[in-house]
Amino acid sequence: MLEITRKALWDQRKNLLGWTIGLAGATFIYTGVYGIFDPTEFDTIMDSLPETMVQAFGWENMASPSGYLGSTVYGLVVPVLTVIFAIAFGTRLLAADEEAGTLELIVTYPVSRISLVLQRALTVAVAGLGVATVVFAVAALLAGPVELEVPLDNLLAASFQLGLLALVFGTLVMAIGGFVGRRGVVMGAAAAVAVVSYFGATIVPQIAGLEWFQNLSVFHFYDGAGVLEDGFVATDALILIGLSVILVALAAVGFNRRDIGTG
Amino acid sequence: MTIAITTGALTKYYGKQRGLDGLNLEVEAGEIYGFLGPNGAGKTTTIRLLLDVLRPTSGRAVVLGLNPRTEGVELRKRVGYLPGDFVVNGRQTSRQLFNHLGTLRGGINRRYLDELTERLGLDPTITIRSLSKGNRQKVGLVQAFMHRPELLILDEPTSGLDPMLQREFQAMAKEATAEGRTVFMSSHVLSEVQEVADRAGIIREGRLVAVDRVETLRERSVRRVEVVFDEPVPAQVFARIEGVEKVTVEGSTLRCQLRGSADEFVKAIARFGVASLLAEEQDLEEMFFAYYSDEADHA
Repeated sequence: MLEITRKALWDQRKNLLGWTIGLAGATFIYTGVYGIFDPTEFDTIMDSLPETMVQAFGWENMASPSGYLGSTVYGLVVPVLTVIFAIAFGTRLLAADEEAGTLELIVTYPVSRISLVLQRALTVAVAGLGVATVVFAVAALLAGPVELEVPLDNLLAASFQLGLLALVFGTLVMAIGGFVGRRGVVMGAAAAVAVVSYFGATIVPQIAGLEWFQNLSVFHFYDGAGVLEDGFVATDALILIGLSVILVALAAVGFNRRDIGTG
Repeated sequence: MTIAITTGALTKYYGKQRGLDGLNLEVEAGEIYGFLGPNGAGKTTTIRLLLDVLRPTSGRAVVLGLNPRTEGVELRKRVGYLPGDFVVNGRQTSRQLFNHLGTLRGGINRRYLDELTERLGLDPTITIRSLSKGNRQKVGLVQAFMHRPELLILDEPTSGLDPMLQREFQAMAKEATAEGRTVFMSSHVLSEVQEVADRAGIIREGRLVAVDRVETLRERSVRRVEVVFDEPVPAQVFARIEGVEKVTVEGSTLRCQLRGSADEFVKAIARFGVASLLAEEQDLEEMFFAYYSDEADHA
């Protein structure tokens, strides 16, 4: 049971370690910097920026501890890095594995295609929630020393949302990879979804009449900044989980019905 | 007699490109079957269809009494497969790979695994990417044999192996059939299967064009022969021999084609001083035509 998950995590251990260090580092730097600035200076800077820009990037509450974390660690850098990680990682687990020819041997073993996809999707979930846990740990441990007062449960909830964000994009590339066994196609398509989704939650809703567009954006349901401020939103988390489940199901259906290794 | 593999009008198209065109194949349980054909004839396509890596456009396949499409997991438990292009993650040792693959099969017979690696001279503690091509092929062979499957499906198993290891492989294949197991192996050269196979089928442009006992195929196969003598020789001495064709003599060098038994030819050249002798197997394409012109002669 779960031998494929175990092996995938083991094979990717160095890759995972690298990303974990990168994300922990980014969290460390942004959280640590908080102690250096005088919070009132943020207000001065924000006042000088265009209002729509401030709103787009969620910088309204930059001076408050949760506002700061929400606009830096959980607002831009770490979520974007996390999505890039999830896309790269999920691609390795299916499309790149197929394109390299290494998947052929495994599908000739007594493992059903569906089990293969489910076990690899579980790998994505473990990796995504794993890096989110590390981000949480770094932010939580550093918050005290730099006097960044954010409720721990909100921090945990935002980190969980981060893990779900990784899960959605990781399963998205698997869903595409379920139908197309080509690394470049899969990564390109997922990156396009990520970019549209990101701007769909930030810039586009600023345009009058297009506010509804944010409901199509994964980042809107991730909303790390909002969660840090106001706490866990179960419906948003459920939407992300439900989306991942659908994507995994699509991956399994696509992968189960086609030829392997013919591009 | 039980049947290990049977296909009926098995057809595979990649878009408009022909992969396999109505293949009717029958492999008996307990035999070594050589699946011969030039590159691109459809050998690998056939094998991938038997293992449900590919899905047929039409036709059917039954392997060990099971449908690869609907009973694939059950079937693949009982099959060992060596892909024609054996690639695995190179950043692991063969032992790590065997552990993983063995676990997927529900367990490993360590003693037999050690026996196989020792026999082929494979050091399982070396990272796969630092192995030579021949040694990687050994890794592929070991994983195909390690669970003593009822059916071995081997795509070009001896490619990259030196002659000594080819013989070791042949011994392993014969031992498997001695235990009542079946070996289905592909190759693009007759010489690789003629030592070991009981029967062979020749596939060409997606169709099976000939099936026969290997001895029969070998008897009908034509070798290109070049003999250099110590002195000039008369051509007519050799042209008269049955099975010798297309004789040309340039000074002391004789070139001809030899079909069937070499006995009379060898005795004929032995009357002269032989400086060197070269006999080359014709390629399969030529053999196919030779086979068919022969069929026409007999008709």
